[in-house]
Amino acid sequence: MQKRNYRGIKRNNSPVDIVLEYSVSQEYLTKMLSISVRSCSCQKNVVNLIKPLNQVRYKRTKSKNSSGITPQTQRIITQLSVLSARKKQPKMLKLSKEDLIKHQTIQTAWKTYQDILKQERQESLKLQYNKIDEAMNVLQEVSPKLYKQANVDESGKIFPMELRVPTDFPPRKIWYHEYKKQ
Amino acid sequence: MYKRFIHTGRITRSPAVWSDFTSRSTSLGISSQAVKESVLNGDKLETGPVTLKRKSNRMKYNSPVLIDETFKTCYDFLEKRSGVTYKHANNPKINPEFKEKLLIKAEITNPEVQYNFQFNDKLDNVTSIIDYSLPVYRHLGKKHWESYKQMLLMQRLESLKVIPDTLPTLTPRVSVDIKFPYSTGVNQWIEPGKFLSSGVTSLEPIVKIQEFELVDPKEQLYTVLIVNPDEPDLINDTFKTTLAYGLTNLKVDYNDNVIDSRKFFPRNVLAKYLPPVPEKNAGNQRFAVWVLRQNMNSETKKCDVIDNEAVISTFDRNNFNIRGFVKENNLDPVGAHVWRSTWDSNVKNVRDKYNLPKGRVFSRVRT
Repeated sequence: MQKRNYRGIKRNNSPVDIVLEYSVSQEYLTKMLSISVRSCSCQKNVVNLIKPLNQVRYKRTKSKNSSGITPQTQRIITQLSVLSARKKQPKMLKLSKEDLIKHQTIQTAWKTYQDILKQERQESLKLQYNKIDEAMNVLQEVSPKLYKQANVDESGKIFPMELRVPTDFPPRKIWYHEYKKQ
Repeated sequence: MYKRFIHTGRITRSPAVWSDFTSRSTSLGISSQAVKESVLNGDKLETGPVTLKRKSNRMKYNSPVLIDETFKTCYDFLEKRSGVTYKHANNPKINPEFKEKLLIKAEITNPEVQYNFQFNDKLDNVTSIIDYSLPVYRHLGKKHWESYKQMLLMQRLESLKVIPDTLPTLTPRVSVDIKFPYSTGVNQWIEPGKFLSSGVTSLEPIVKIQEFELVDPKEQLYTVLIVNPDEPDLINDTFKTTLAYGLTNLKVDYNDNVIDSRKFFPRNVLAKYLPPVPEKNAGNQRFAVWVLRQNMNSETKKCDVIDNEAVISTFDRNNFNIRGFVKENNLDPVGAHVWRSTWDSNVKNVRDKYNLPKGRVFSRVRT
């Protein structure tokens, strides 16, 4: 059985390769390897391969109680802290004197226009309120009972969540048993 | 947003208020024709903004997209509103304060006015550019003064204890600037609280009184007092206030408001200038400049004139009671300034020049 390795060079398949190719479970792998060790010519390399992975302790890159800051993030934070505050701010627009004046004029006009709209809205709301007030006064005179009902305190009243839109048939799935509140 | 009604054929265009200079002051427009074109019709210029001086900068510069088109729409909108405001302001029945407000409102949105005010010197008083006799420039000037100089002055007056050491307090209403313009002095406006050498202060300062409020400049009179509250008084083991300079019955215009020796006569001088001559080891001396409005008679619309000859006999300039003087003459403090002096090697020369007695040298005494 011939196989190309990653460099494209043909070589004889070792039992280890075969095992790796099939990607069997770790247990099976160990069993197979124990056989292959005996049969393999270059015993040393194989031993390196079959060695169970030892845990290597490197230098600690995050503190024990670090709140999920990865070293990459930490590096960015360090780099930003070195930069001056001015460079972190968005760049100021460089406008010529004329354009600055034009810009200010546009801003003023827009603000004035919005003020006009706001004033109109306020006035119309005021008129509406006055009309409501007038109608309620009339209602109080005509029917005190209705007036009382119309003035029931409804603060804290919300739309009932249990309510469902009425349908012709029950839903396909009656109840979501696995539903978990997120 | 406005395009709809601006392009409607039926609506007649309002008269161009801001481009009509027949009845309006020319200082409400940009004096340079090129800059004016660049501001108002920037899209027609192909060479870039005129205010950028170097050609390479003009070539490099890119205006924000559609700024000229938007500006035109906004300009028309604001000009139209200004026209309406002018119509109200020209109503002869309204009171002067309200008229002032309307005139400010009519011009404050004018880009030419804004350009003139923002990019020119506010202290020079060049009437072709910034004319403080116009309400809008007075308003802008006041805002500009309040944004920094007024606060700086009050901070200096309070931290140096000029108030309450000279007068109890001050509600600043006019901008006061001083300068020692002669060959001995420094030709720049003095920042409040600055230490000045005795050589600089050897000749009298000029005082600029900039009014922002609506007053009658033809009638209103001002008094300027420069007092030194730090003169050692050995007999009473304290300090006394001396009057370094006093001027009365001064008239200032909104624009022509620098009081120098050409603006007043000997009859205006209450006390001739005595320069600061601090003594050695006697500490710093504060020189407080007080600008006071003289009382305006509400019935006759005339200002009370201070009779200098009569007043001079009532006070001692070497032990001057400024509070008493202000109260007696019914004066209203509206502005102030302060500088500090301390002993230096030139004091002796100044004393010689003014024939003042030889200065004392103080030393520490163990008590």
